[in-house]
Amino acid sequence: MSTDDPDAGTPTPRVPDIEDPRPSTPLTETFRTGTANDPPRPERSADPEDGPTTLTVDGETVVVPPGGTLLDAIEAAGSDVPALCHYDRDTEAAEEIGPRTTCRTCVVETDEDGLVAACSTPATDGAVVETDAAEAAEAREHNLELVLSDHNLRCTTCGKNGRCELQDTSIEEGITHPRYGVLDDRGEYEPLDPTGAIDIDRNKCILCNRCVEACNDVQVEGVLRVEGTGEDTRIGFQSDAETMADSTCVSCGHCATVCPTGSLVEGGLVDATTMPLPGFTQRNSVGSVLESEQEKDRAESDPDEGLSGVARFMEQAKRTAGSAAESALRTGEHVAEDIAAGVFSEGILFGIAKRVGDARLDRLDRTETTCGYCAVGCRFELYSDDDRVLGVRATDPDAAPANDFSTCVKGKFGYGFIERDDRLEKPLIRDGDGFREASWEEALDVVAEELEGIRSEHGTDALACFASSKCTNEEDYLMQKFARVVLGTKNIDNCARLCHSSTVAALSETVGYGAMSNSIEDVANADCYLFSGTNTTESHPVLATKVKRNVRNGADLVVVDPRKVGIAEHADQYLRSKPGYDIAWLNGMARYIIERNLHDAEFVTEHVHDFDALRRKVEPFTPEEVERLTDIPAEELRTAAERIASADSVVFGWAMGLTQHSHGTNNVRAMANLALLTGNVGEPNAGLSPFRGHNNVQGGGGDMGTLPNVLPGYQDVTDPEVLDSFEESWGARPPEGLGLTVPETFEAVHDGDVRGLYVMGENPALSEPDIGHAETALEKTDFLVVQDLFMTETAEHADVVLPAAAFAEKSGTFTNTERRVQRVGKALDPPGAARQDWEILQSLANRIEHDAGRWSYGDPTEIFEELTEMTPIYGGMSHDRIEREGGIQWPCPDADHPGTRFLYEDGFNFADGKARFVPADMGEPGEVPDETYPLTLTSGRVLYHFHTGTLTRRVEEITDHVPESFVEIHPETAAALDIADGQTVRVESERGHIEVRAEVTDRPGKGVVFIPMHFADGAVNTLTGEHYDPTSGIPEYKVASVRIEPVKTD
Amino acid sequence: MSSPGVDPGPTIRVTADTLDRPAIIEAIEAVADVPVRRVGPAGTPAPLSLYTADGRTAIHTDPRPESASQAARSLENDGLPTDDAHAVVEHDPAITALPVPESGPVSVGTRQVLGPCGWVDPTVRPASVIDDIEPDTVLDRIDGVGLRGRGRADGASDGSLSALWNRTIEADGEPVVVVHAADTDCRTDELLCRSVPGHVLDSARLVAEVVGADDVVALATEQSVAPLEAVADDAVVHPAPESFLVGEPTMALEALEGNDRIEARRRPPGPEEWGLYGRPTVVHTPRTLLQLRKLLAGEEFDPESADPGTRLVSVRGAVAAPAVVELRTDTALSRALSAVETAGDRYVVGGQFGGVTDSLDVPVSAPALSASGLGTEGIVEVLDSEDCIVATVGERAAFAREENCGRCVPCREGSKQLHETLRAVYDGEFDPDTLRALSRVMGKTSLCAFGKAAVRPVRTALEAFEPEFRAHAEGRCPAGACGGLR
Repeated sequence: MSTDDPDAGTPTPRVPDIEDPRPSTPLTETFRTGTANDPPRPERSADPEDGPTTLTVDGETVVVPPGGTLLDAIEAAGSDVPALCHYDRDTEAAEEIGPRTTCRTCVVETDEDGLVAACSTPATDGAVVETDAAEAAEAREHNLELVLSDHNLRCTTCGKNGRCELQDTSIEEGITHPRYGVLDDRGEYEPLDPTGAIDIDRNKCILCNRCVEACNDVQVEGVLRVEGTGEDTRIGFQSDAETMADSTCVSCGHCATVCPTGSLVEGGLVDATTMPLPGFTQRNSVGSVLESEQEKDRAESDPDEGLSGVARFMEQAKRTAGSAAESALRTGEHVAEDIAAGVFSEGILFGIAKRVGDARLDRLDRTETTCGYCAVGCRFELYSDDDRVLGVRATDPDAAPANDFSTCVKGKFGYGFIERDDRLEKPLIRDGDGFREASWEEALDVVAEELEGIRSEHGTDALACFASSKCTNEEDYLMQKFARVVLGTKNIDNCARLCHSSTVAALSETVGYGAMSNSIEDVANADCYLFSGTNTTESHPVLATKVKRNVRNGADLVVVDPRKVGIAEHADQYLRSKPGYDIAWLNGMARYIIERNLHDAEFVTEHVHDFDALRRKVEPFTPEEVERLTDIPAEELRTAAERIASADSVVFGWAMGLTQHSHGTNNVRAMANLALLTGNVGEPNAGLSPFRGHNNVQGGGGDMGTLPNVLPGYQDVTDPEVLDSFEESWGARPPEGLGLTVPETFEAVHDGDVRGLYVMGENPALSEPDIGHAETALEKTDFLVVQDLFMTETAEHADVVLPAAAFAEKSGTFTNTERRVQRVGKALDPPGAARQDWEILQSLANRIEHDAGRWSYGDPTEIFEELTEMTPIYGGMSHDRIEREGGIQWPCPDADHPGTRFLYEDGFNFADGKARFVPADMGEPGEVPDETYPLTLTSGRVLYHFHTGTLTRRVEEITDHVPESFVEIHPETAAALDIADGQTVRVESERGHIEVRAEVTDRPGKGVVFIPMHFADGAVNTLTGEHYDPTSGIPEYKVASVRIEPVKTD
Repeated sequence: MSSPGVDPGPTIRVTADTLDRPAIIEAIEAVADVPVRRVGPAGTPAPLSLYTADGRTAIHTDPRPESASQAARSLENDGLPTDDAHAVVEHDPAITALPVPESGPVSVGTRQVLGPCGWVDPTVRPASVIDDIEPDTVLDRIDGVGLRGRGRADGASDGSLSALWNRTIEADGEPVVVVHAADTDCRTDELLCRSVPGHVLDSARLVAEVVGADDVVALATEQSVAPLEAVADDAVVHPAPESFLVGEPTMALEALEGNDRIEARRRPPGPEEWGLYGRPTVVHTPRTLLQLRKLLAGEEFDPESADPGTRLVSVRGAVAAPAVVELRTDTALSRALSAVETAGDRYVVGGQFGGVTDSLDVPVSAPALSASGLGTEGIVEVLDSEDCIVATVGERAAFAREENCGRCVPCREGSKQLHETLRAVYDGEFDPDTLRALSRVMGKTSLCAFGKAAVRPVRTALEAFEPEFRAHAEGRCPAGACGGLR
């Protein structure tokens, strides 16, 4: 509790022996929101069988649907009442918020019940409502002014100026001189809390409670609460923290998104619409500012350590001058404010402020776009000026089907990298150990010459291209076209190889399409979940919020993972598994379900081949045998299997924890077998859900044919008819036959078979297993061209580096994990001479010798037109149509087809329409612990960073939270090795060693350690080994043998 | 032939409000061999010791060890100790209620609910009223009579019991009955729990039968916990935090749920549909439950009455000693004064947020009291000539400002403005328009009864005592109490 009152928040014990029927998760049970157990809102307690309600508002007869409130009726009648604290967004997630019914600025007169709050009173048949009855109007006016009486009204310095609901309401209601005044006694102000990504100004808080509800009920994180009573009521933290930075906040941004006033403002937007005078900031206006514990620790250490004499004196003088200047500005601002308050009425101040706000807003750009980080595909509006993204705000619900108004730290705050000084702005050409800047002409000529040269001397097979899962569909379509008909090589692949290639392979074999069979909406409404190898709350945070809400409302959740990850805290059952032995429990569940006759026999008979083969394969995996192999208790396995088999609908969710093994394809086969066995494919709220990684790995890393075995739309690259049709469109025939995967490419480089490599938007120098070996390969190439935003670890090895555009600087489409193609909006121009990836490809295509004719695409829309013609599953799409409909899910074969929410409703993607069980052989990791390397390393992700960190390591809000690599060690393991929390340790495998900070936690199991993949310093892939899945080629990132010892410091 | 809790032979009773009762009982037991019963408080201004034999009872007040042991010895050997008795009453030897003398505090009003208080043994369960009744018929009977709930802590406060029960029966979920005996403002419920806990819980179980509840919970003040637990059986007795807020029914449920911050719940629907843990919950005060039991046990109730039955009134403040009196609802409130010694002539009626008045000439029924702008809580606080009306109103406003839960704007912010506006009177600024506007806004749009009631003192004082405010604004305190005025 962050209040001073020692008696505040001392709970009375709850009454014993009385049953609490409300569902929850083990984690939500612990939330202490400080708010009352309100009844469900009218919208949620209506009986769907009920008909609509007819009533009268201000003489108008109106009809509202079941669950409608008086506020709905008032809107239907065309009348208007303020309803300030009401969160006015008509979506399911928004219904988690309120009605708090605190401000009472929506009260109206009713015939039966007198004055009532319209926001929370259900509409009843025959009710007569008067909005303008004298007492109602008086009460609304006074209540609005009572809100203002405790509000620090300083619009001109407020981060929400021009966008504030209180300001808008006050102006609409004609408030010129609030009769109860405003909060303008500086002595009463609470200090501002700028320690997190969001600025918190409690003096502007109207206690609407939206932030608390968004945090606890939408994000389901349990950070914020209401504390205190009477005048001391405020928003605080459920932990002991005093500041946001010290709290358990995950910077998801929900609170700032829903806050109606300038109380919570995104850091980048605090000055966006204020009076543009020096010193006119919200911080100065409030006066005092909180420091986090971290900052206090930093301040305590001598800032001038290392300086002496004159230098030290000058530093101190600069700081004193700096703070004196700050102080002068602050005083100036206070004086100006006080004069204004004395001279102008609040009404006039509102007018001035609103005009300033509107003028500044006009000069900002607001671009609707799709997030460029992960494959959930959140959509929102970027607010930007000429140089940078200032902030992210919610967009219309119709345009944001995957996320509504939800975000995570990366999508909401991860934009600082765009404006960094170390953005590549000019092409670079290798010069000795470094680079020299060059013109585009020169650089492109060099690239064309070198690639042509290698081709003529060694053949097309000596060239290889890596497409980018971060680029748009348009750009990746061009990349594989470039590889195939400009360079003429079969070798095109991308980083999906390293991530869900096991999924694509296994699902193609079992159900026919290598993609998520259902939609995010299905995931949100499942009856039961089996999740394994997905750290959902950290890797797919917005998707995880939907799962959390559903589990909180009663859905079952089984999580199987070697680490007790965040989502496991909400599970009905968490089973700790041994890394690399998952086939055992997957087959074990199948065996138990079959033995008990719990499987969907009808579904299996009608729709799936090879049941007997499955039954035979899983026979040895008794619960006891599974326990022997995996340490999962037999009884737990049985309970979990029963839960899954008896649920109405099950969503099977997984990510890298299942795929990134030397038997990853088998893991996914086993998972798919379970889903088919229980009849959970091809119907709503069920299905196979691989959670894909990059923002466009589904589209640009798969659908667009950037794979060595398929053309766009997963058409077979060995099928002559397919090749015919591409030849007709492209003007040249794509090479027939399978090309090399990413790992095979590296092998081929080592063997001298591949000599030229073109890498677009990928960082294999950090993402390959055994990066030592990978870097040798990169060095060994005759010619390496890297196209990216920064001098990445891979670009360091390049011969030519081409500067490209970030996702906020692009127009085009991304395809998210639920097969939904969405529009990407261009908010900014790329910096300096950096260009769009598609423009670079086009320039190169027109410089290199080939038979396919000149490329003359004018814009990404033209490219998209072509790709839809060649990609049947995208056949009915167009940029226009996508914009109008807010995204379209493939398959969408023609313009009349609405898109496909979930696959396999009418049969599986095989000629006979039936799925197949593909029995999974037991797998073991490629390396197991031994005496030299007795621990098992597993790698993965953290919430704040993305993949190899090229973007997120360049964002301050992110590095403030997670600045460096670390290794999670179980307390017992740490004790045995004499390692203390926070100590630097050396982690070594057969491939190499790194030094990182130890984090002692019981998240991983005993003998298992975890290191994130995001850092170059302490790069985990220094340790991982080249053990590949024979079918998909995926490396085994999830299991490696290591040893750890403390680093000796002398 | 005796009722549970009532002895047939000679008996001594010492009420629970007696100072140092253990010493007195020890003194009695040292000299006499008569059964001594520790009975609950009787609601009289003074604690009582009662000596009963053969259909006669000597009532003594303020027992001391000396006088009590003397009286006990007398009872055993010489007959009733009538010397120094406050009253001597002849009665049916099997009487189950405190014998009522011709005059004195015990004779004021009627003693139906109060009857057994101070008489029956609180640790003995009475015969259950459920045994003779069909739960199915209760709803109709109560509906026919139109019985109302008593106390702000009651879910049907001043409203229809049967309507409340019907909503619970219709609602989804497993119902619960909560006995709310934790109001710190009106201690009458505490008195009833200490005197007749068995009667209270018996009635609660009956309500549970009617609405289909398996669980009965009693939320009790400290002094009520042990007496209730002694006769609880399955009912769960839970201690309540000492808090005015918890007197509001939804906040009582918040306390029961173990919430570490108590605030009012949104309504509609009320707790009778969404109550404890979201289950349909009927919340009743002991006062309501005993009215109900009295009706079902055969007492006559006038269905034509706007507020059938009796009401308990606690008289306190500028009195020699406080008392609890039971009056029929057609009786004038002023009758309650007969039970106490007082010289006051102005009153706050309704408790912490009662109405300020100089006339108690109003029937003790909920509709009549409300129509007069007074509170229905069953409390009359007497003010004497040294109590300043303005200061009293100011104190009540300060209480509202300090104690409100903070959830809703009209109450949280309104009470602050109300208090500040009253304070300004002392600076010479009397703004009756703002005071009246705030009374209307808070009174009509606050989320719960706390905010709505909080304006009663100022609203009634403005109506009846406006000159006092003007005087203070001019620097004068008519009561001579507000020192240091400008």
